[in-house]
Amino acid sequence: MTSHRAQVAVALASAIVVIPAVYAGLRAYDVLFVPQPNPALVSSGVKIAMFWRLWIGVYLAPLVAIGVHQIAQRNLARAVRLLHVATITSAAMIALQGLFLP
Amino acid sequence: MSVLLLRVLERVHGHLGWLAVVALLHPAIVLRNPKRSARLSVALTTLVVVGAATLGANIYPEYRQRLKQRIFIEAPSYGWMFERKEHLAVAAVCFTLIGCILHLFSPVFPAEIRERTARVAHVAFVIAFASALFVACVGVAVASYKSF
Repeated sequence: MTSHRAQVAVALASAIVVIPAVYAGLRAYDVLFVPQPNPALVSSGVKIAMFWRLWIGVYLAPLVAIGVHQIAQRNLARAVRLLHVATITSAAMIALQGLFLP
Repeated sequence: MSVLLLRVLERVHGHLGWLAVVALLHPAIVLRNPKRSARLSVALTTLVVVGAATLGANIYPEYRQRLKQRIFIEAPSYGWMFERKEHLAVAAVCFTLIGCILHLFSPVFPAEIRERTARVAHVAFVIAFASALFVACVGVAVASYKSF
């Protein structure tokens, strides 16, 4: 039971780690490959891109949670190691995107 | 939403944001020791961070309608700073939640993994603190230039 709760905790944390990474990826793609209107010339539309990016991350998060839960069932230590690496990677992604591709 | 209500919400959001930064500093320091427990502090910190973010998300559509274009016309550098603030605010909330989950669940982890889990929780809180500090500083800069 204790082990199962630990697996769920790692899966939940991994699901949330994905959200900033997806957010940063989508925004970086927009900045680099989609022509952006000048915000000084165009007034804001109805669609709020920030919320969309966030909700796409939230949509993908359960898929990652299921995958990580499978890994955690087999090897919890490995799942925690993956979470550690994913946390740092996700932080680096959103920091770089946030600072250099706003 | 009336302008008066927006002004009140904006100021509450700003103060709550700085409170969140100060609150995040506690787990970021205390949880350096992986054996240390700070469950109440972590839970309250998460509550403040999520509260500040929820309030910010509620007034964000009004910011876009009433202020964003004017800021970009008059001072584009402030406009871009605010864009950076939005992105790093997402990071602050997400990493706070990660730290909170891992810290609150740490007793259920087997002893040999608990220390590594505690280290991940600490890293998450340090990232959340750094992001929140940036967000709060930029928030003050932009709000002191133009607000509702």
